[in-house]
Amino acid sequence: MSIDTNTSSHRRMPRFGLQGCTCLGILLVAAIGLLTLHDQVTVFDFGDPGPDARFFPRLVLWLLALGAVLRLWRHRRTAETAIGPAVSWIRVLFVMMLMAVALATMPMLGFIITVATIGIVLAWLLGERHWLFNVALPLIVTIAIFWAGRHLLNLPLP
Amino acid sequence: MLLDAFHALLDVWVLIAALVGVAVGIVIGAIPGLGPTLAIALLIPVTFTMSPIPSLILLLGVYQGAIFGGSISAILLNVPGTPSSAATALDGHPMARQGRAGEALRIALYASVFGNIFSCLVLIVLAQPLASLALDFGPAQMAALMTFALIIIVLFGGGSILDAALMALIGVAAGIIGLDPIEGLPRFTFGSFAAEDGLALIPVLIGLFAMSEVLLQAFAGKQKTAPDTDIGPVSGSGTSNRPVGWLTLWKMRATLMVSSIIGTLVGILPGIGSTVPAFVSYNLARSRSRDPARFGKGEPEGVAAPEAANNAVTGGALVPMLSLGIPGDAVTAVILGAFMLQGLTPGPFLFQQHGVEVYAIFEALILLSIPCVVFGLAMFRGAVHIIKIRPRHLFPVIAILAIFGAYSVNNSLFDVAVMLGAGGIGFVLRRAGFPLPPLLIGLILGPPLEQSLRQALLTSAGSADIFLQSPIAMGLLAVTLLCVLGVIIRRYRHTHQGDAS
Amino acid sequence: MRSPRNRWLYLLSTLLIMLASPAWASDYPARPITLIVPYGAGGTTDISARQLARLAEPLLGQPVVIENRPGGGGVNAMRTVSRAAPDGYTLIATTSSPSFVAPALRDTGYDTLKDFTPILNYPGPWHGVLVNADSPYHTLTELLDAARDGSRLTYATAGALSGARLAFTQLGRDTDARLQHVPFDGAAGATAALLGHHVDIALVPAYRDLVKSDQLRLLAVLDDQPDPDFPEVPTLEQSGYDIQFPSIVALMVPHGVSAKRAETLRAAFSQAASSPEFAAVMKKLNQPVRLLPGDEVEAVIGKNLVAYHHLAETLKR
Repeated sequence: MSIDTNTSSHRRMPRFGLQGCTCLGILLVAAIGLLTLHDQVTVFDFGDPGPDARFFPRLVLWLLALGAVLRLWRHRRTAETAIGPAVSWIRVLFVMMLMAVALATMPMLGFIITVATIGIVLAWLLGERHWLFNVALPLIVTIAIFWAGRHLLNLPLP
Repeated sequence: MLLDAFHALLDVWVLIAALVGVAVGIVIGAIPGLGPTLAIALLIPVTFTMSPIPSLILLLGVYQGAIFGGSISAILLNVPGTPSSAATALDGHPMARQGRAGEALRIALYASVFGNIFSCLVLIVLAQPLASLALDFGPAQMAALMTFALIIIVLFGGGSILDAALMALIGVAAGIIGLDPIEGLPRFTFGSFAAEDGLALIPVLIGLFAMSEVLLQAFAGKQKTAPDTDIGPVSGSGTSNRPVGWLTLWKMRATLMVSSIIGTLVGILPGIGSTVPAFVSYNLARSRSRDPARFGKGEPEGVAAPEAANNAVTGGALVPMLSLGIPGDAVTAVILGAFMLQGLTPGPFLFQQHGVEVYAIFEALILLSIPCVVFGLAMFRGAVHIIKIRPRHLFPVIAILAIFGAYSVNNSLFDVAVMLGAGGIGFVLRRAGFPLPPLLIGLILGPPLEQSLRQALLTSAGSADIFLQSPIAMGLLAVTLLCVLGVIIRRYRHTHQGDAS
Repeated sequence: MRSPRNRWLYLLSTLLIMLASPAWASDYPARPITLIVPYGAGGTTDISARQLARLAEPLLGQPVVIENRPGGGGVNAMRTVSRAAPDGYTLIATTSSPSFVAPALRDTGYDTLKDFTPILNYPGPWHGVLVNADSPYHTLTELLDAARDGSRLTYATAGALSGARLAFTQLGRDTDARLQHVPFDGAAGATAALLGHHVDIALVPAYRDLVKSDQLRLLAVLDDQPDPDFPEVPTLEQSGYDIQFPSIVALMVPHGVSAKRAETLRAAFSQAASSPEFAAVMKKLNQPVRLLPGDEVEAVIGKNLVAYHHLAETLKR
């Protein structure tokens, strides 16, 4: 989702807010889908009757685009939720980025290190400063889950 | 026959199997991502050396326990443990927030038991005739049924119909990613092999409901921890919990019956699973209620309806599995394997050759409700305190569990990435106030809807007559149309009254 | 379950030390062997592989650890194994679809013949050509004659990429019969569609009880040998068509494993697979044991891969 953080300077309940942004995002995704439809869906010819593999995606994506436009138009005058302070968005994006990095490095660093890091940073962001809950709790939970996953559930955790 | 079967149950190993099965099931079900399929598959090697009745009761106990267990985390944490309990969270979690966690859990438990017993009785009495009903549902009829379910979810979910339709379409569009169901060729995978499996349901569910909750907390930051935890007197069995007695259940009798029937019937049909009936019965209970506005804000019937439905699915799903040897979903397919290993091959000869064992298992399915209630009530005493845990301690743990749960589905890191992406999207949509249930249902029903539609057109050589010639498909489509018209008329009247006043 | 696990951790740590010297290669196997199952836990492939692994453990003197890697109809697991180190510690128990059906139809990221060395084939279930008991067709020839003379017959299979579908497409082309494929999600759905008269034919395994209870009729089997439960029912080849869809469950190692190690594995797993204990479990699963050595499996896969690839090329738009 492409969220423009500049609009956060608007006052409460702006004319164009989070809902509008979301609909624009949906419209964008549907448009990309329709443009890449031909390349992304190969069709074999077994001589089958009825719609082919491209029919259903095309229908759904057009309906999606139509729905997004309809919603934008119908709610063009309604007040929407403000996008919110940039600091909060940065915090969320930071958490997402952290998890993405953890995910990418998990095959190298292993489950315990990466996932415990996520837990520790998250606890810190949520305002926990006591070492016991900030560091020890996520670490212990991760190790416990890792052990249970490996030995009781037979999962090949990295 | 029924008495012989009952005698076969009087065995200490049966009791132990039932207790262990239900306890394992509840715990596994409560953890997001882990479901009955994994637990049953892992227990199958354990049952190699056991005799048929205890081993199958162990596995079926896990199945029943897990479906109920999912509702515990749904109510207390707003994080559904299994997909089918996502509907339970809609009213269960608001109740917990109001300090009525104990009441919500008890209603969920009793409704589960009701749905379960209802479907087992149906299974005992009507297994054979219902199995042939299941066979009447071919591709055309399934396509009509799924259209009906999708329309119900969009129309009666409360809130804006346009928003709900938009969300359902996103779900259906997301379901397109992966291999095409008819030709088996990749669609929108952008060259990635891992994406060929499509977006698996459980990682998306965990992302939409659990990870988005974590991100919402991160968005709020540390300033907003106090008001959340201190709403009302959050005491486990405190005064704000109304006692749940027979009277409460009697008042909900219509909801419980309707939901159980929906759950059983959908359970019999292959490939839909328990999430869709849970949401459909929730929406029906809401639209039938005298005060629909209370739904979503902590209405006990909103907890009872989905729980009765998703537990009724268990009995229904066993009907075609036992009488025809045709499993409807992944869990029953695994249970089918367990039956075969015990020498009880499901199929037309099962009831003739192993009648005593089969009826013993049916009776045990009903009796399994007893350990379910006992364990449930015992666990609630401890479990209700979970809601008192501070968010800054709870959410890191939920994040860790979410990653683990997403990974455990297919042992693949791609699923964790899907979970993360769904978390981001779920976060934006929740902040913007879009309803998530239609998205989930769209994702579940989209691929089989497309498949059934195209299968139907393949069998009819591309002609749409196949839908018009089948009474079942015609009936379902007519009801769907009536629902749409009904809502349009009601809206129309509503706006006119609004103008007049 | 715990003690082999602890041993495994212990062995892993000793292995790290031993990796420094090349001497450890002499005694194989020196650590647990991983057997990858390309499907979810609890399915028939998984159950039989677990049983085989349990029986092979004492013969190899090392634990055989089962790892489930479901997804992509088995293709994802095959790709992972094709890139694993060829040290003889990673095996896969693969089936027909990911070994010669899917690679013939699309790019899967591996070449079954070049990237794998088959060790052993143990049974897959027989796939039958089934019609309803009240259908007018009593033999495959009657059925094909009807499909040639105007009736359009639909057949259900377990999925879009099933080998049964390709075999029947070929059959339709060879005999000019109008056969329309309708794929379902798994064999169960296809069987149900046939029982409910939504399709005319189903190409599915696990039909024994439904045929014996006179609900379905078996016209032919797609394998190269008749089903021992129905010895009078012919194979496609015996019916006069040069087409077969052999259902295999093959143990394979990545290409490049030394011949000596492959032989060790082959000996141990063959012995385990021919044990009466294994036969008992497979009988319960309705899949009588029929063993094929590695080179014969390779020949079967090679033959079908070429045939299916050729067929797929003519179908691409």
